Amino acid sequence: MNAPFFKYGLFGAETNLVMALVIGIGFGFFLERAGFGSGMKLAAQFYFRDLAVFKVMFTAIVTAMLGVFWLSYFGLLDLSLVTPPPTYVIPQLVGGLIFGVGFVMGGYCPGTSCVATITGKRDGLVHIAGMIGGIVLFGELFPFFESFYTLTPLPQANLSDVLSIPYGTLVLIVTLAALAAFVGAEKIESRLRAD
Amino acid sequence: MQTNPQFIRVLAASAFVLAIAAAIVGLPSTKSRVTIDTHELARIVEAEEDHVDAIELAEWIKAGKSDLTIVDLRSRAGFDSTRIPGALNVSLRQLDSALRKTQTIVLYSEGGVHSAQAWFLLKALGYPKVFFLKGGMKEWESEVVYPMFDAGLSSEERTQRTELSKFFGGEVGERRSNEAKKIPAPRKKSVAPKQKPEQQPERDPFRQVC
Repeated sequence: MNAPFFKYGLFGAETNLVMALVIGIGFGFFLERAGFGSGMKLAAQFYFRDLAVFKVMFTAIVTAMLGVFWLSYFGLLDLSLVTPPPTYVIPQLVGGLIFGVGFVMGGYCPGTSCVATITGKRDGLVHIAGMIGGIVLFGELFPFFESFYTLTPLPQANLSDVLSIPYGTLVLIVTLAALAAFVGAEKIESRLRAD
Repeated sequence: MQTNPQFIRVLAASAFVLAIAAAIVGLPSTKSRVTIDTHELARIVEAEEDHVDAIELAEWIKAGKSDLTIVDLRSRAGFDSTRIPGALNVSLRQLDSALRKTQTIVLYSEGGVHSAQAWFLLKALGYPKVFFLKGGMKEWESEVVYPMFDAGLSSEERTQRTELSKFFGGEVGERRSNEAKKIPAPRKKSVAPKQKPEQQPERDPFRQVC
């Protein structure tokens, strides 16, 4: 058996949706168990009081990166069929900024707002309403944004290509950066706790 | 919830070891190695099960065949100027990432060389239902959209071809018996409904070749 399963036709669109639901519920469960159903905890990372989000996300990146690398190396995942979305530098920087400001102000990102709502928090529900409203508004006004949306394209860029570093070396660099960041985050947290 | 510090250290050490090994190995995947059953491919070609003709494809589109994916392998400019309705513009290098193995795929190019090559690539990669359009875009135009009827054509075939031509926004013509066969030039710039072109990836760093 070889991944990606959907691309290889091992199951159809309906099964794909069921898988998405199961994985989504699993994702939500672990977000909640990591404490990410609380807007206070999530916002605390921006004040360096609690860097759990940073550590969890960086752990996820490193885990996925190593998993994809080695699964592909042993022929269990066909990387040529994994299509990352294209990069548009300026619009994505602007999008990231809007996302970040929303995150600091409200305390939730899209996934965690769903987790918060499911666990009975009304501020999470407000975020979901905002998210759906934003999606509808963006979709309806897309013709006005389209020229900006496709500005500065860098299709399917990956760091290895952009920096001209061998793929495996880049994996090592990102892993070392993550390990160093975890140690640094622990130190910052313990110093702030001591204060 | 407190996590055992010993466990965290083991995880970090595992990540470190895997990353060091990744740096030594260098690339995540070797080029794909596929096994090609040349006898089976030869049988398919000899049995003429590798292609569809323009009229057969036109009937599939008209009947609304549900799993049909039509792939235009020509340049973007050619695709924008005229195309078979519903086709996707995909380059040879993007084929494998743009398609799924469950679909019935019909490939076409201007004449037929590129589509036959693409057919071989997809068959080698294990796509079960792939066909190329015999004669390519040229035959589509001359057989379906702007057909010239010979005097000896049966009335049933004449009706079928006229209906197809009308369905695809073309028109039919009569060929006199002593007139040499020639492909009429398209009289309309585009016969396909204008569609928003799909966003296609420009390149794939891990493109596998067989």
